[in-house]
Parts: sequence; structure tokens; C-alpha cells
Amino acid sequence: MNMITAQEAAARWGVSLRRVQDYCKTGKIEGAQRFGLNWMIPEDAVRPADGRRRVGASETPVQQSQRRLVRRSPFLNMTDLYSEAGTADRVIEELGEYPESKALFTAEIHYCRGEIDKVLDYANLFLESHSGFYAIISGGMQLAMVAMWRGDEELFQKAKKHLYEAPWKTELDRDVISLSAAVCDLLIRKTSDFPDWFYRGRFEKLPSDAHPAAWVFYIKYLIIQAQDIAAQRGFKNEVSGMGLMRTYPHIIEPMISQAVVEKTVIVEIYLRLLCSVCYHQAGDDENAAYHLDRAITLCLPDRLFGILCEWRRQLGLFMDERLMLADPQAARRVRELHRSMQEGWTKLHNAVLKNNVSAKLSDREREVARLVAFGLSDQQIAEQLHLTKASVKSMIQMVRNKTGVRDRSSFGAYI
Amino acid sequence: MTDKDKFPREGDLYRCIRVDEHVFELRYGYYADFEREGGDPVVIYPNLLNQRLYTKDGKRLVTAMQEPCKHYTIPHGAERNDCCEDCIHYSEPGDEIGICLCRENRRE
Repeated sequence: MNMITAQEAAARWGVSLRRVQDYCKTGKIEGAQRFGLNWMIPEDAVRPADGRRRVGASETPVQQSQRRLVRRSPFLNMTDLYSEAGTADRVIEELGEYPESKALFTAEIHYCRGEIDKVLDYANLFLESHSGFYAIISGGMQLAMVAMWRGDEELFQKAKKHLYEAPWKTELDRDVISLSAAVCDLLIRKTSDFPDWFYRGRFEKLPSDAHPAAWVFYIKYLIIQAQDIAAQRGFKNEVSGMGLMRTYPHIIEPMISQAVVEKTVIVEIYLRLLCSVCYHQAGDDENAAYHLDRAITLCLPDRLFGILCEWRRQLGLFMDERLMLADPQAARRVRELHRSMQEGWTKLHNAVLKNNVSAKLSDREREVARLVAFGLSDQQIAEQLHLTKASVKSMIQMVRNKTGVRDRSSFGAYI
Repeated sequence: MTDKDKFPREGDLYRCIRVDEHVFELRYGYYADFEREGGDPVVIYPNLLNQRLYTKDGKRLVTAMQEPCKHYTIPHGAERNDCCEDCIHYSEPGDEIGICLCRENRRE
């Protein structure tokens, strides 16, 4: 067999010598042999395809994302990759060449599906074998989510310890740690430890790819704030919880529009669910259904029952009704997941905050208790929930019996 | 076990309450037919506003949750919940059916 030098092959194929040497080292040229520092190539060898693509030429979203600046946010990992409902498994497959990205995205999808054991596996992987800052932040937050589902206080505290011990280098890193730890507390309705800038909605110091997640956390915080005001906890101003709840959709709707334009499906789902909560608790079920139905439509193709389950506590029977219309099997699955999550959440909430929220309230009783906390009269509650006043009074009596609380104004502590 | 097995069903007994010589069986049910669609049953309390019952010595029986009368008085500083249970005249606080000690409501 006649052989040519790497230099001759480079001239023949119109590529650099370095490129030919790379082909030889990676075994892409059959028959290539090394003699000392030089490569000899069979004369009849053809130039191998190098797999490189020109910018913008038929790249998948995964490849485009990887070509961009390295992700600087550990929140809602890889949401820019998940641009179309029903493509989660395909994206996971396409991420095959990028193991860390694949692990982060896969863990996110497992959580969204309510597959908590698998989330725990990934969390341990990030915390044990990775020393990178964002991997640790991601792992710590996932561990906290698992702790919430399981009602495991020790695991929850361990998760926060991982976050505080993440190897920060810059002030931005410290802000990310503060936000991450506070978001873990948000899981159990604790809102006291956010950084000051967060309470004002000033996210300018966060990297831009963290902003969609920051919106979701912020809206969740505002909703809890409104409910706390309704329960007369900790606020001295004159605003009413129900008044705030009625105004929040005006903030959330533009965010939803932006998420639709940017095709960040997970962010869109969360924002629609949050918006639905606000409308529903303010008594506007028409608009609540508009957003809830769309969130359900986005969740069903990839079975993202975990996200729906996370918000079933706030939407209760209203979510059941809309899910039954869309997919009865999914409704059943969400109810099963919620039962498990509710027990865990209540246990962790009570343990960490030294509260006494009862997990024994039925969905309807909790809904009534929430509206009582918002200051609605029995008649108003009956009209909003399409019940008789007598039924409302009976449920309030049951809430009192189960929680031991007699004052209506104290119901807010148990919703 | 299905969801329906865990939640009370219409007709299930919630509890029995005895007040003086009267015994009440509180059962789960619906106050109106339309509430049956998709709703869980609630405890049905006797309507002691319409069906007036008295103890042997003439005190009126009331349910904790019923609408209070014009003599409704709450302790100083307490929250008004518009239930007989919160009235200073309600005896057996914490129990769902009690006795009104107000002289204005005694049997004539």
C-alpha cells in the first residue's frame, strides 16, 4: 500500500496539517500509522467527515445552547432547552454528549414528573462527585425538594448546609447562595431570609438566565405574602390580602407572554399555575381556568404531574375538576402524588417552623379555611364555592374541631 | 383502598351527642342536592332554629354553628364569628350542640 505524509493529505483535502493529525489521533483515518512524530496515511484514504457545523446551519437547540456562554444559573436548569411540550425525552437523548447538562436537565424533569427517588439519586451525584459551584447549588436545592416531599427535617437541614458550604468566589456567587437557601425555605412557606434585593424584585445583579426562575420565586413569595396579610401575620400596612391577590395577575400576565415568546415551557407552566392560583383565590374562576387549562395542556405530554401536584394544595378541587376534563388518569395520578407530598410537606413545615398545620383537613375544608382567612363572610364563601351557607358553616366547624382553633382570623395559620 | 373508602360517605355516622334528654345522631350528608356533584358530604346538624328544643328546665338547645340571635354577646376583645358557640351564653363551648343560658331564650 502506498502511503502519503500528513502534510500531503492536508494539501490534497484542503485542510490544515493540525486537522489531519487530529483525524489520525482520533482514529478517523483507517490505516494511518505513526512513525515517531509523523503520521503516514494510505494514499487512497478519503477525508473523514469532521462533524463540525457552521454557525446557524441545522443546529439543534441543544447544540446551540452549548455553543452559547456557559449557563450561569443553577435555577430551573436547562429550561431554554425545553422549548416544546412533549420533547423532554428527546432533549435528554440529544444531551448525550454533554453529561453534566444531561444530568441537570434529567434531574429537573424527574422532579417535574414527581419521580422523587430519582431526583435524590441525582442530587447525591452532584453533591458527591462534583465540586463545581453550580452543581453543588443544584444538588443542594434538589435535596431540599426531596426533603419536602418526604417530610425529612434532617435532610432539609443537610441540603441547606450544602448550599452554605458551596465554594463561592464572587459576590454574585454569595447572592446565588442566599437566594438558593431562601428558595428552599419558600418550599415550606418561610419567607423571612431572602436577600433585601429580592424583596424589591431587583434581579439586576443575577445573570440573565436566572431571571425566569427568579420571577417564579418572586410571584410565589408575593402570594404567600398576600395570604399572610389575610391571616394578619407580620404586616402593619392597610392593604388587604384579597386586594393584593386581585392585582397580582396584572404582574404575572406579561411574564407569561414573555415565556411564551421565549419558549421556556417550564417557566410558562409555573407562571400559569401561579396566575391561576391568584385568580381562583380572588374568585375569578373563568380566568383561573384559562391559565390552569393551558398549564395542564403543557404538562400532560411529558407527564409533568409533579409540578401540578406542587400546586394542588393551593388550587384543590378546582384543579381536580379541570384535570378530570382533560385526562382522568392524570387527575388520579396527581391526587395520589399530592397525598404523598402533602404528608411530607406538613411534617416538614411543622418541624421547621414549629407550626401546627393540619394535614387532616380535606381539600374543601382547606379551601374554606383559606377564604375565611381572607376575611370573606360565610355567605360570600358559599357563593364563591357554589355551596349552601349551611355547608360552609359545617365545614368551618370541622376545621375548628380538627385544628383546635376557634377564631376565624387564626385560620390562616392552617391553610 | 380507593379515595372513596377513606373519606366519609353520605349517611356515615360522625358522632352521637347527648344534651339533657335529647340524643342527636350527626351524620354526613348534603344540605342541597346540587352539592352532591363532585363534593364530599359534610356533617349535617339539626336545624334548631326552626325546630326548637328545650331542656327539662326550659333552656333552649342550640348548635354551635347556627346564626346567633339578637342577644348575641361575645366576651370583651374576642372576635365576632357570628356563631352561637362564641356567645357568652353558650354552654359546652367546643361541643357542637349546646345550651343557651340566656334568659331571653328560655321556654315561656
